[in-house]
Amino acid sequence: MENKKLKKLRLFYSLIILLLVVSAFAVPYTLLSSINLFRGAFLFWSLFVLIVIFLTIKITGYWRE
Amino acid sequence: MPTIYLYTAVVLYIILGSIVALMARRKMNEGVIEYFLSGRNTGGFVAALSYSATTYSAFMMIGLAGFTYSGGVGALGFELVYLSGLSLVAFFGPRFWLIGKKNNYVSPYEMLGDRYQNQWIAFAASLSACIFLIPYLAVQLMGVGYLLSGLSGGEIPFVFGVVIAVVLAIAWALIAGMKSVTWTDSLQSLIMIVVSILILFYVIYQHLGGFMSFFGSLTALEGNVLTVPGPGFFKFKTFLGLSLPWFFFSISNPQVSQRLFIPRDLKAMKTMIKGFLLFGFIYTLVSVFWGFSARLLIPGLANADLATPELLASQYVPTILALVAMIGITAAAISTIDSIMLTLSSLVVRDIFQNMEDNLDQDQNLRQLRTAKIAILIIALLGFFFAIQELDLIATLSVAASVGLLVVVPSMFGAFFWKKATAAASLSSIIIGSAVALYLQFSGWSPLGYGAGVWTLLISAAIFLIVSLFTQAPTKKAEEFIGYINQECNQKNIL
Repeated sequence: MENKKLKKLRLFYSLIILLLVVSAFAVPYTLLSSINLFRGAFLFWSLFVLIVIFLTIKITGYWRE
Repeated sequence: MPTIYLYTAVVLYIILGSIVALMARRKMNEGVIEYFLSGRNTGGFVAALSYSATTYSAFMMIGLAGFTYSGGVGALGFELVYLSGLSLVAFFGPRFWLIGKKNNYVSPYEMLGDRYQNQWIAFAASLSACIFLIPYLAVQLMGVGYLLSGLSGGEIPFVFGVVIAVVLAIAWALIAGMKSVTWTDSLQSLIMIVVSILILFYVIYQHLGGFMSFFGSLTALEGNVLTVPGPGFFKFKTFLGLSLPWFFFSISNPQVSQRLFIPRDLKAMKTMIKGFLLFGFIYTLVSVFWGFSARLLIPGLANADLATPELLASQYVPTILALVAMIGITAAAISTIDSIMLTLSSLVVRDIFQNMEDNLDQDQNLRQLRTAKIAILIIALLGFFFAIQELDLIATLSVAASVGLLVVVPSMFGAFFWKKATAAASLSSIIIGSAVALYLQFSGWSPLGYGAGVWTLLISAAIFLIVSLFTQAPTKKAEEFIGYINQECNQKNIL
């Protein structure tokens, strides 16, 4: 793959993951702080990590031997 | 629980693990690279299981379950933020692997020393790892001691569990180095995950009316346990102070980052990452559910760390399941202990004694291996000595481990992504960062309410950046190191 394209992809994935991680600190303490149910912080953090896992696997999917 | 059952289970576990370790020995080749890195030839499945077993210690089913018991859902967030930190491996993993193979690195700190052209960096980072990881290892040993003693109602002495754990860890590390460690890790991680899922489903369906009713009961509990800060432990600053150091665990802890050198090829590394992420997600959920189950079934414990042992000893868990759970937790502890011992011994040999040479002849190989084996025994003895003292100091240092190891993170980023990073910056950030971590942890001082993890990371990163701007970078090496990685990454589509 072209160097420029790789750099762009690296920046793209890093930023999304960074944004997700920031949301994992911010959202449960603000928007979800009063939802004492499964669909509150519990579901949010589970979905957060599943998306990060998906993105991580996607990044490894580009690799070629 | 009858003591004879506990002894029988422990003996079966020892036999099974030792058979696997001896099988690994039969497949073992000669040399330092074989001993410490299993010849850089580990398949994806074993690498994934070993990575999981090394990362997840007895902390999960005891400490994390305890956090959940007392602090509610924040414990899940904390551990999942850690798991999300594995995304770093998607960027760092193949880079470690490529340059490790090219320059024949055995330890991650050896890599830093070479990259910055200063052996003192490897020395300082290795010394700091020993200071923080030996107490961490001791706490794992103590965990096994307490578990066996607790489940037997005090009949099995604390020291018996500690001795069993230390002897097994030494044996499984010595028998075939990384190969016996990864193979026994694989067995142990399978035990850990299967056993924990089994008991969880039993408890939730047998005693708590299934998952829907489980969450209903949690909602009804006092203290809003499904929110943060909820019962109060996970205030935002505490959550940040705990989670931030753990986010960088995959590149800060040498026993884990060293595993980035062992996969056979990129495909094996891919499988390792995928396998670990799946394992981590399930094991985290199970540990948190376990803590919540204890909260519902045996409320009112003064010490939350006893949630798991008390639940296992209660009438809610049949003896046979409690026994396998005990083995699962012991396996989690021992698989972490032997990996730490092996990694620390490689740091002692390669970085503290600075025996690094590219082409080792037979004698040097033998000498390094002999030193490594002596180092394993000394590290184990130190761990054992600390464990039987049961000092508060050890617990404090152990908690400080994830914070103290953070000091290498700026140097890791700089090594791969910043040609202007300098040796003086790396060395000063490691030394001053370690001092800050120790001081804050021991004094209990939290400036502005933020814990040691936040300050250690900020201070070591700031020192690294500022000193780099005013000192001379090893330009030739930086060009060669980063240039090679970039060229390979372009060819192999590595982001």
